[in-house]
Amino acid sequence: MTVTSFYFLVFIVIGAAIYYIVPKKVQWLILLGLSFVFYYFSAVPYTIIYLLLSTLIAYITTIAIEKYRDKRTNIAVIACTAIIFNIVIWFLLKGNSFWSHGVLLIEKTFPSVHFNMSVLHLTAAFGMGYYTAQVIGYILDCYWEISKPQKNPFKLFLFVCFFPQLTVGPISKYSQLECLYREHRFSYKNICFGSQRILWGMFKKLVVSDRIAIITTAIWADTISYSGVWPWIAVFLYPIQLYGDFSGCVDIILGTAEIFDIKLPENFNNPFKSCSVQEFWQRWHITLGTWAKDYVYYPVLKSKYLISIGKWSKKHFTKRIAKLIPWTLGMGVLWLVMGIWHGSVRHIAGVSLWYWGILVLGEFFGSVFKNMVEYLNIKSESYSWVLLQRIRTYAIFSAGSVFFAAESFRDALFRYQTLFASIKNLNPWTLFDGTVIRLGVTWGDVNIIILGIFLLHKIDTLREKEGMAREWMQKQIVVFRWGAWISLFFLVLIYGLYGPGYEASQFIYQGF
Amino acid sequence: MTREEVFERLNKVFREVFDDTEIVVGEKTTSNDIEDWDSFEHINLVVAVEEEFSFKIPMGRVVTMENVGEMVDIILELGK
Amino acid sequence: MVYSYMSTDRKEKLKKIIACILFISIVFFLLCKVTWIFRGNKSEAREDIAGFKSQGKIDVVLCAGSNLLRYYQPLEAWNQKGYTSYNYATSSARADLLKEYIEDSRTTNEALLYVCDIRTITDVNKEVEEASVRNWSDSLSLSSVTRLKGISSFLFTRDYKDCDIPSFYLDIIKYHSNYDSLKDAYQWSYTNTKNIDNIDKGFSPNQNHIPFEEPISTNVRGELSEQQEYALDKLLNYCEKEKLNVLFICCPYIAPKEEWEILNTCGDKIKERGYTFINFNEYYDEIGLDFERDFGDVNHVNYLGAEKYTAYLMNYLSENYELPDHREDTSYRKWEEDYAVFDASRRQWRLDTTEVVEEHLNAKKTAETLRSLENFDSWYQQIQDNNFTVIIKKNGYLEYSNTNDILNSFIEKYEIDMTQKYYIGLWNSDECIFSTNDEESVEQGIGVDGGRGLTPCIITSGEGSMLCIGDTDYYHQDADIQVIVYDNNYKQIIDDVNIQIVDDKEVHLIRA
Repeated sequence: MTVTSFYFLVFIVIGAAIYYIVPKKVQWLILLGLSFVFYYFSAVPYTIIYLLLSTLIAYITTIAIEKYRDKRTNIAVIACTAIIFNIVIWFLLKGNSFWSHGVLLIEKTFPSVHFNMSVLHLTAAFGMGYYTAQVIGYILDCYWEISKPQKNPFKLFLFVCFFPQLTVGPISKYSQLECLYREHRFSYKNICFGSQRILWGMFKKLVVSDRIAIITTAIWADTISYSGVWPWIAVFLYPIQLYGDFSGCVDIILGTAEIFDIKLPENFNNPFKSCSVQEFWQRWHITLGTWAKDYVYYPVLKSKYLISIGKWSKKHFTKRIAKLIPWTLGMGVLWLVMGIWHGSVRHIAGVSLWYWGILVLGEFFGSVFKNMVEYLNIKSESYSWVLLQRIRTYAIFSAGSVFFAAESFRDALFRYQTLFASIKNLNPWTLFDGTVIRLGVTWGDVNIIILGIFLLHKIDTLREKEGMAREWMQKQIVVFRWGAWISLFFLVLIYGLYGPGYEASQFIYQGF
Repeated sequence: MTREEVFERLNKVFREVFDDTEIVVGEKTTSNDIEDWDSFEHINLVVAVEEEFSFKIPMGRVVTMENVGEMVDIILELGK
Repeated sequence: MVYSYMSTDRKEKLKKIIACILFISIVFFLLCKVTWIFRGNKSEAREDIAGFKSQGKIDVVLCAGSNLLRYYQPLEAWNQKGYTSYNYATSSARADLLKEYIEDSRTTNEALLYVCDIRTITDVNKEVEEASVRNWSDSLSLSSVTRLKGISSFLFTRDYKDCDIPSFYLDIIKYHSNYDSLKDAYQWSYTNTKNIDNIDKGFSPNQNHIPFEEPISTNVRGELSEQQEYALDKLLNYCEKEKLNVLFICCPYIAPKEEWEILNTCGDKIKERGYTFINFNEYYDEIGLDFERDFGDVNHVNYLGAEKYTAYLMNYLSENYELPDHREDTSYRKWEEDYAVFDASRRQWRLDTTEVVEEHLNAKKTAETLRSLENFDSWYQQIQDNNFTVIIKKNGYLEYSNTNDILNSFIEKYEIDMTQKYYIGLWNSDECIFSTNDEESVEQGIGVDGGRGLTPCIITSGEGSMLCIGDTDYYHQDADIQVIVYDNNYKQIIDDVNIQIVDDKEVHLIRA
């Protein structure tokens, strides 16, 4: 049962009906039950034991931490063990890429050594990257006394396996999800807003993202026929495809949660408006960035090692450089973790190295760049300069996404090779001669993509300005509102890429 | 230490961290008031404060402090 | 009045409930309309079912599949006897949906007599045959309750495990990608089904011809499968419960022994319940069916057979049932008008079908004289009839210097390369089914199928040469060029000739 299927909609309707009929005290139990049902139909059912295992570890650890906090026991060790345990399970089940690359490396260096890889073919749990991050966050929050441990193990399990989050997140903090256990009154507004958000998410994924995917996959499947400008087009279209896919799914998830009167944290905030890579990562996959910052970056920077490095740098370098060295190292760890979380070596290249490199270069040469701008008398307050910065940020993201979109490290290198080779034989006339039709889309599809991109831009801007585009909608007259929702519904119904003719496409971010 | 003493020492720290000799912080100063004070600079600030007042701010308090006034409370409670 | 006494709170609630219901109703209404636009172009079925509702009062409603559509002409009955009747039928209908057919017809019309043709009970099995249910369910509005009941009853009594169940109920899930429908005015016309008319009252002829032999009757009672029993019981139970006046029939067709046995058993069961069952396969002579002329394929009569059948059935109905005569009634003007149109159409059908029949019979005559032809030229002209398949095999080098014009045109037409050793060719007049000058082995089905299957033909050149048609090998080793002429309709070999080239210019036809 994927989140864009008809069955899921039926599931929400029935689930919500039960949810609001039962006594409010047991509503969280209904959520737990729904999560079990969802897990059974969306994943290999027995793998839920991994979630149970993580929950058990977290439960025992946090209760122990609270109990022994004021005694002489080293609770730091308890917390660390629990976290390491979770990471190890994650590595065993999701670290295939690392294992295989690591094994290859070892076998190349020591030809006599042989590993038996068959033991590693275990099915991972659904949403493992997401819930493992949540669990680690919870353990640390309890250790740092930000939250009080949950005394009811079933309630804790709900925090771990809450069904909307398993597909693509968001990664929530325990304090953000305490509303899971509260009483929830039926609110017409919640149902309306939630449904509207789900519809919008379906539009992004089924109408826009999957349509662009036809183009990008066709181009990469046959770079000989589609050479020259086409690989570049594929690279520059991919962020929109990724955004539509990921944020569309997140919209469906947040909308679903809203129907159940649960507010999950936002994962996107108009990311393509960003003028710099820093800003981009505060607007894209927000919950992962926040998690990495709060649970990796902060502890690393506050650690003895980095503080001593900082002190050492102050003695040997200028003030500016001295400040940058611990920052660079801290960032390095943060980005390494972000890359590893995505689960493969090519993500370490395309996410970790790439963004860390850009950010570090940006900082080191930041003042040089600023001086150049002043020297060239560029109007840095003007809209056109801001636009240029946005395009630059978009280009940086597109370049990094080549690793993301590729199927393997080798495939990513091949793509870069193709890109650079095709600069020599650019063929812009093919943009006008109907080649786009051979990719498997019609001109109608191209129009829909353009309309979709326009709407995405409008709504994201509206959302940032008004807090919630739906609030703005509420202020419009009935005919406009209803007309808009009905039109959107039929747009998705008619132009969505779903149904028996299509293979239900997975979400790109599902499986982390 | 008195509150005023703490504020004076904090001014020094802030000026050092943000490289701005004009900064003066008060009870209600927040990250919105100082341009470079974002969530990434925050930790640098915390580390600098820890160094100045020779104590460790518990991680739980790092993320929950709302303004400089609260920071001063923590310093008075745990610092030297 | 009550409204003004309500508190503002309750007023708000009431407003919301009304708004919600109104919104959902609008969406559903539009969904019903939009579904029609995208539905598949099974126009015969749609016109049949949709057209039924706009006919006014129907005295006799006949329900079945194409075993009715190609057989009975309601307008002929109108013209001769004055009662109104209609074929509520869709191609590939199965007996386990006949109950729903009657039920749906009764939503707009209570007939004096129902006639159910149960021939298709022999095809009833456990598989979900999409055409059997979709031809009907895709022709009814989404708001039809009978449609829901019919789909559920069909799906859940058969093996539905691998089906995309939602797309049966909401068929727009399956058809929404027929974007070309949006351009088609005909598709849009269905948004107002009241304007859909079916002038021929559910009759559309089969204009093919295949000659058959009269099937052998049997009195043996066969065993019904579980599904078949269920289908029959369902129908009989419904008729009993609703106290309907029902006649059960089976159309005349080329009935295989097993199917006839099943129909016998069905007949027994129907009679046990007190209904009449007529198996028209027992009345070939009375109807006057000519098996050589009157059938289009194994399961259907062609138009010539339909005329005879209609005459017999309408006589039977008017003699055995009290049916009104509306021919003087001015409120049935439309039937008169429709009959005029129908009359013109059917003259053409008669002409066209007769033409095809005559053509095939002429070919048969040609075939009778073909064997006696000695002259190569006239023989060569005759074999090019497109009712014949010509099978040519050459198995060795031939001395020939292109001196005979007719032989030259023979060689050129059939693309025989005289410089090569081997040749195999299968031709239907000018159309090449298969031809090769290499040493090869070919397997091909020949003849007109029409439900009988194709005749297997295996030809091998070189080592182990053979020329098998059916089970018999006709290969002649000593032939220069061997030609077999096969009648596609009668499935007979009508000539088997060795073409011998004598003295490099004369051609002799040698027959065994």
